[in-house]
Amino acid sequence: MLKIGDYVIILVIVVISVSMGYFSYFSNVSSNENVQAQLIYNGDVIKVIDLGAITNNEINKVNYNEYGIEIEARHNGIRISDSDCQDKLCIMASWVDKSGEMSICLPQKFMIKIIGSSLEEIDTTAY
Amino acid sequence: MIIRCLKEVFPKKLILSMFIVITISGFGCMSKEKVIEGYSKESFAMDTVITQKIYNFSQNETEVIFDYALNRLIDIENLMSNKIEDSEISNLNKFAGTKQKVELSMDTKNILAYAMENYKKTEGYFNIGIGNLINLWNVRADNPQIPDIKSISAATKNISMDNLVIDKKSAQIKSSGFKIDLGSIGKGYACDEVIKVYKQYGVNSALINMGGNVYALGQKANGKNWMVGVQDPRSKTGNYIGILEISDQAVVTSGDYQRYFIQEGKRYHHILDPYTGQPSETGIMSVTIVADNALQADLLSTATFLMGLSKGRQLIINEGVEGIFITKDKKIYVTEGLRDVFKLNNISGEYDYVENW
Repeated sequence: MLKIGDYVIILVIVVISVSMGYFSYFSNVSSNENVQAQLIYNGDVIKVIDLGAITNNEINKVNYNEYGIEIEARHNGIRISDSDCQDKLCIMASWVDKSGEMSICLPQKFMIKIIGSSLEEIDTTAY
Repeated sequence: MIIRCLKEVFPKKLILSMFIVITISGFGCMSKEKVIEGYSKESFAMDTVITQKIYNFSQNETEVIFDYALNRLIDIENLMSNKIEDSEISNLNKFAGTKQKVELSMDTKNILAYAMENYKKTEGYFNIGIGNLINLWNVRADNPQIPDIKSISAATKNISMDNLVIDKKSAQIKSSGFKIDLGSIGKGYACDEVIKVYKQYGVNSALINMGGNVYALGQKANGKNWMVGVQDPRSKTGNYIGILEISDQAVVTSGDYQRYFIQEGKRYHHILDPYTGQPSETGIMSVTIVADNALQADLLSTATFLMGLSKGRQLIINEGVEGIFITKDKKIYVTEGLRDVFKLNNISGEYDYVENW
């Protein structure tokens, strides 16, 4: 027969393992939801924006005059909203929000790249 | 003895419960894979974005290799770009129609010889001599226009590959109608050269993406194959329609979505048919080729796009490579050798996967 002390030990082990499982599971989920955008100029990351931290209905406009680029960031999404380039292809491209997506302005050597967690399904995309 | 002691301290049921709990939590940990990160770098060269990723090397070593690879790319661009005024290709084009020979580097000679060799294999569809036609359409212009028929017909005259004569160290172009544009294979060639640089440094796990042209060297640091997304031709860059699992292979896509303009509801893309002088209309939106080298994959993705589903399929079978064709009627055709390594990711349900064709 199990004694009361044994039940205590079982309870403690169950609580510890369930909480470990809970935290490891939810830390993964939250890192997936935590969408970040890298702003890259000529190959160098100049800024990382945490798009998850921007609240709903809020749109942040940021001017990067030194790169001739203006960006708009919203909750879990970002885009190039203005550029000094001639073709303006980057502006016509819409918001990027999924890990691996990119918005590129070739003439200005500027790009936005969405980065996700290490649980990413793919390593790169052939396009 | 130990077991007996344990049994005395912990009753049987308790040991069983502990075993179950530990096993469950143990599996929980195992499902979380340890990911060893390499280093990656984004650069702008060859008129596109280049992403390099190298694994199993220190940060300092990786940076040195990145720079060597990038310098190699820039050297190739300086030799082969027709947008660079004194490149070998620009010089060849400049003297087209005269008897002037132009001395060539091994790089340029190799790529021209490869293009010539494949001209016949592709029934003349793969033709690097349509530079005048590409300039005429200028799909990338700020305000692209459909050229008039007369100009198109003029730009498709004298584009036979016979106009290009290569000897040991030099080449000449016999007609001014033949102007070289290596846009359809230059990146593939450069991609393979970067892989050579990596191998010289002993890199055995790396990934390069040159404006969508991918080469995956070896396997990932965790010993698994690389997962390469295949672009959905009607979605944002980076959104994939399926995933290819590959190792030591190149993946290159040609699509009508890469460079185009729309006029009166019609899409005019950059893959020009040398026979009609018009953007190719074979009912294909994209072709993705998987081959052992990026040069071949690059060339065959353009050639098969131009040749259409049936002829294109025959060509890649003859060449011993694999491919994925996505047609305008939203069907996905995958060659036999890829069926086990291509996983469809058809979230929207828009596309039909054709198993037997």
